[in-house]
Amino acid sequence: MPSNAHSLIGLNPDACTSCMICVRECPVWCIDLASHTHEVTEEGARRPKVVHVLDEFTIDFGACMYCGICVDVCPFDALAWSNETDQSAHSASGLVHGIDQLVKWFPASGS
Amino acid sequence: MKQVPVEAWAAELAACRDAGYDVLDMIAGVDRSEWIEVIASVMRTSDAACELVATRLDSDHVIASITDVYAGASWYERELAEMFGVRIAGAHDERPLLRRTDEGAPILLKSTVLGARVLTPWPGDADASDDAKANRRRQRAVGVAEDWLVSDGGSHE
Repeated sequence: MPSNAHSLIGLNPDACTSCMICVRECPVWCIDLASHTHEVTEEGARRPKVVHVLDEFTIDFGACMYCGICVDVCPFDALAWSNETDQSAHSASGLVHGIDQLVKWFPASGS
Repeated sequence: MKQVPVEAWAAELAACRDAGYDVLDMIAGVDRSEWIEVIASVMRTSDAACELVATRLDSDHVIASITDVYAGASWYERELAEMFGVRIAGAHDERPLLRRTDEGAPILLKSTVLGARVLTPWPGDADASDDAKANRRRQRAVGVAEDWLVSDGGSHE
């Protein structure tokens, strides 16, 4: 496969801050994200810090047109192209992949 | 890219063919909001040279058919007619290409509201955090007109 081939997109959930930029920039609306906020009290801090915790992140590869805008706009490099080959499924819903699958496609060294 | 007036469209492509550009790669329409641009890409198989020919349509959106220059142009002309509402002058195939009928607004014009975009909730509209939605600014999808978004029935703003 050529090195610049667009195949799949992987997610690093630890880098994702649930900022929603990818969801809003996606031209085909194929990314869905759900999160909740969580207060963390750090030693010596005056106020507790509010952090977003990622609950769900799905990409519908049946709708995705592999434009890579989500990969480009992510400020935290939480999305990256994967060299895995395209997946097939028996139904359209089988092309919707969540965190469990997307994390496996996130390249080990980034890209 | 060679820019030609719309009257010279068919003649320019005939000149391309005579210059050895034997393959019509594609014809594409672009809605530039104020006008519609039509771009043809032609190729010469002997040396893999490519040429782009572009024209800007007048407000009546008519362009001459080039099916007598490149036989394969018919598919793209049907596409232009169906997706951009361009009228093709001269002998051409008038059957709809992908839609079953030619009813409704041409779907690739920016002014056309796409039903699915109205009916589908925009994933970006949902606030990332369920418990912090109070003071977040309401956002809308890139390139989607303000009145396209339908509210989910509640008047919570």
